[in-house]
Amino acid sequence: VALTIAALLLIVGQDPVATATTTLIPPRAISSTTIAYPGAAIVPGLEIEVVVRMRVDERGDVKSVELDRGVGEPFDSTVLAAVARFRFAPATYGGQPVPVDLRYTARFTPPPLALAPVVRPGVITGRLRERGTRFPVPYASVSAGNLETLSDEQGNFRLEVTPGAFAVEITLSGFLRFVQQETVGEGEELAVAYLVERAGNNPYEVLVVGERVRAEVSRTTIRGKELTQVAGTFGDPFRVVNTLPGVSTMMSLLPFPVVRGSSPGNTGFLIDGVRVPLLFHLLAGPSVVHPALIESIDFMPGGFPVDYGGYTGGIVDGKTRPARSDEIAYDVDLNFFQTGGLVRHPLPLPGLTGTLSGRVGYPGLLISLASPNISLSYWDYQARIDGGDRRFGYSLFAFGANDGLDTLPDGAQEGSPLEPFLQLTFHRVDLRSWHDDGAVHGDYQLTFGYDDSLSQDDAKLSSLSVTARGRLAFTLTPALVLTVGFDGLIKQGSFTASTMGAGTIGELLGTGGEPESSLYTTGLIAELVLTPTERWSIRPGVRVDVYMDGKSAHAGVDPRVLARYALDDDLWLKASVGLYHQPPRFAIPVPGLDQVAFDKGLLEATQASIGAELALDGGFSIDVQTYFNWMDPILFDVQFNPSVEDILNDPPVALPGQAPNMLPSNTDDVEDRLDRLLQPATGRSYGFEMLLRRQSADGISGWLSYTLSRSERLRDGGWSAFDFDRTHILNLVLQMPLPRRWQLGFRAQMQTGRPLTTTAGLSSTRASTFVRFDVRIDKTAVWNDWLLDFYVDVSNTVLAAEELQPGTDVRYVLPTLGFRAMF
Amino acid sequence: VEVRAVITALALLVLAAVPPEPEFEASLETETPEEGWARSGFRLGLGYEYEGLIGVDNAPGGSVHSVLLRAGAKIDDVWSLFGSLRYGVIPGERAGLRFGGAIEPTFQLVDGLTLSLGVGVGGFILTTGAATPEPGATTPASVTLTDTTRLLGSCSGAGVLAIARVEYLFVLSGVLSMGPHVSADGQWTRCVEALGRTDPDTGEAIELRQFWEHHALSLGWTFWWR
Repeated sequence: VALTIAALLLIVGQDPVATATTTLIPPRAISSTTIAYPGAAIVPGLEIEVVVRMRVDERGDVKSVELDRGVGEPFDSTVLAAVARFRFAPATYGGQPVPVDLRYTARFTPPPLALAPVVRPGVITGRLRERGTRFPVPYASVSAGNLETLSDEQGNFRLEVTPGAFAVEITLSGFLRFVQQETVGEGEELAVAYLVERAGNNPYEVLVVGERVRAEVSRTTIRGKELTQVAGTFGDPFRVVNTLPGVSTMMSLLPFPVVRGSSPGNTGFLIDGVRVPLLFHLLAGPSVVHPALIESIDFMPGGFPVDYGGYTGGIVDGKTRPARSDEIAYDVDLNFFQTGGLVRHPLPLPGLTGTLSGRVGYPGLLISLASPNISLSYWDYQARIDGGDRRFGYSLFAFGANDGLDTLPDGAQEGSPLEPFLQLTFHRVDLRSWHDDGAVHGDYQLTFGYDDSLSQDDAKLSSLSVTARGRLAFTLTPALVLTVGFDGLIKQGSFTASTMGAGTIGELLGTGGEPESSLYTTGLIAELVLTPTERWSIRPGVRVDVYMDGKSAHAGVDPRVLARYALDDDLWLKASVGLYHQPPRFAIPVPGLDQVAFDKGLLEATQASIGAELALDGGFSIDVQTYFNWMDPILFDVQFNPSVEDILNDPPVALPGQAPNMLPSNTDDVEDRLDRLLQPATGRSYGFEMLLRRQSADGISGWLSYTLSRSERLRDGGWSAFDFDRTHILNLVLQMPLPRRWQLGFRAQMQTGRPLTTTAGLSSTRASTFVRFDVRIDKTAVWNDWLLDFYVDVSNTVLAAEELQPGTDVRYVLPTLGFRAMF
Repeated sequence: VEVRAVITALALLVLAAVPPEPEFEASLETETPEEGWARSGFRLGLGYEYEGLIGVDNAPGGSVHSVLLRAGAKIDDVWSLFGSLRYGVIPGERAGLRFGGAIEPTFQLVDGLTLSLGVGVGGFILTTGAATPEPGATTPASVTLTDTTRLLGSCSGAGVLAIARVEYLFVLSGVLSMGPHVSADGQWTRCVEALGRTDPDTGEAIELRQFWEHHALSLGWTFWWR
């Protein structure tokens, strides 16, 4: 016979307003509360519950009993009669006896009449693990018949049971109900091991929702499922940047971001601080690092601190995840375009863990269906060794990539073997060490690089480089941290060509016709982080960079200040202003083709921003900023639009049924356009950015980003819009976890069409506004020892037309279907 | 050697005394597959469809091979709401692509048999094989051709799509089912053919436009996952 006292307890006849010091002490039974099973009514296996409500007065007597939920006779009258005889020590409130209402649940279980006195119970002991991951499942309810216990922290349990056959049932919020049939003999002990299946999210992909790091003014950090499960990104972390405020693209298929109206070449793409010369395979494909290696991405559209040098646009900094010393992971993925894998395992040497990953891409298989004269392929690799801990650690990270484009040779017949047209390759080996004793934090990197680009005409660009980077942060007082650092680069480049190298192209490359080039850069930084009060954070800093190529030298001095002020715990005001320099870089990152035309001098930008961020209830936050950038000079600006004179002299007319060329067919005009890349220009951009974001580990998460901006160039004596200026950019990203491990992702993007030139003036009209919708669906299937993630990702679901220029609409859809197995 | 032998024997005894670790077991089925599919929740379907496309008033027709992606939720015993995406290849001389996306409220007629009615967006990217109508080399602005007896040379455009679908599903397991469907749809498309000319004063493309009407009857098979 069992009796459960339930939880309803009401104070009667007392001032309901309690003070901080008053506490209610419930009544305590001082008589037996056992109620005998009505013997004549025993029904084997039938469990009975009767609920009554009683009032216990200030003397502890039961004054009244009412049936709250009965089951019929003889149980109801048995309970009413027994409860009326209960005696209690009265409840007290603030030390004074008070009358209370109580709700009692009497639970009757048929007594094991024949067995109880003579049968020894059996025992079942077990381990609960999560199906697919083998993680322990703590605090789960384990029941057998009417007997119940909880698993401990390690997911182990022990339960005495009535001998015989019975069903073991395991229930826990967030997990599917588990049922297994067992048999235990009298006095026997049965050991079991159960795999319980999680009902919801994939634990490998949980979103870590933490306190925002309030350091940089404009930093947005994305991590977890925000990196790999955003619709329209094919699971590529770096493509997610294109959904953030301040970012547009030249065309929606190309992932290189146009950040706050600057050319893509002016934005730095880094992995653990190492510049990546080729971030996206084949310019429009996935990024060159396996997504499972990326832990987070910091995106700063501007206003970044002196830690980052050599860029006048924004910063995209991918952070890799160090391996734990005991970590074992296997990851295989396969989709229409590529196959990849990752292996992570402790090494025989103590404290070291190794990671090996890579991918092979075969988009050419699909493309060749439409065009047999073109073949595209790529591969990348990453190898990493991690050791140490937070106080002292080290890592070796090697990564590299190759892109290949093969075409039918000129004059060859259809079906002839394809020949390499373009090969882009790079390799990096990064050695890193850090130490932290609380007062001093040091971080040191030494990176070796090799870049190689080869075109059909035997034009070959290659370079060897060594980069050194060191940072030391001294916590002088709790309110004052001093950081000093050093950046250095030695780069030796070579250029060979049979048909190129002279004229504009040679000037563009900065070779001057010479086959060798050298570049030496040295950067020194110093920065203070002042927190004079809890509300203020001020970061003044300066970096000095000197660039030399053996013929000329250029120096950039970049003072920058970032400040934040907390109006209260949830509302921060922030501002930044600073100077930024960089060497000239080609508009789109190409291995061996960065830092060209060095003799043209350094590019310079002045960036200022002011904004606020507010933490809201329910995981929401909002961040608003206004900014102003002055860019003078600019080189390698991506400007395709013709001038008014071009329009008048060469109207944009093609043969019927053919679209006009993006570039003029006239050779002189081509040279003119290339010359324009090398003409120093002046630009400015200003705008308003808003990011409304919700982060949730198990609910709907995502963000709404909006940018109202204007980017202009001084051209022909007046300001005109930059070729890829977008007045409005709106992105809505949603991720909805659903039961049974489904996740639904949605992205909507709207951006104003790019400016176009007419006889009325430069950039006097615009292409059509582009709106696209992307969908992604993820399902994680669970096996006993591994997980299989199946996903469908469709970009531009209804083939919305994107107008690149008048008469040239592009309609595309990019469907991907893939699998990812995680062991 | 004797000490080593004793230690070895003791170790073997200890090992023999330790019971083997039990094998991990998953749960028994807690519901029948049919009960599972009767529950509300999310569903994903991937399917193939063969359709006969009939163009009205000389609009090009033919056969279409399509891939279907359908996703949505079963709301209760009677109603479901799905979204569908369809991408079809039109083979032959009039080669091209037919695409569409629709929202489809779905009504369960009897067990396993459903009726969906949907509206959405549909479109074409195709060549008709016809010569581009030449409205004149000095055409100052875009032209809409109302007469479909002279087709555009190519069509890139989208319009309104309405669809009705009847589907029957066989339950394969607690997570998989499949079945055939038959559907009928109508599509009204605003076709555009760019002439490669631009009004130098406004920057607007000069293009030919034509409205096409199509009806289609389709047979398909879809695999569903819950």
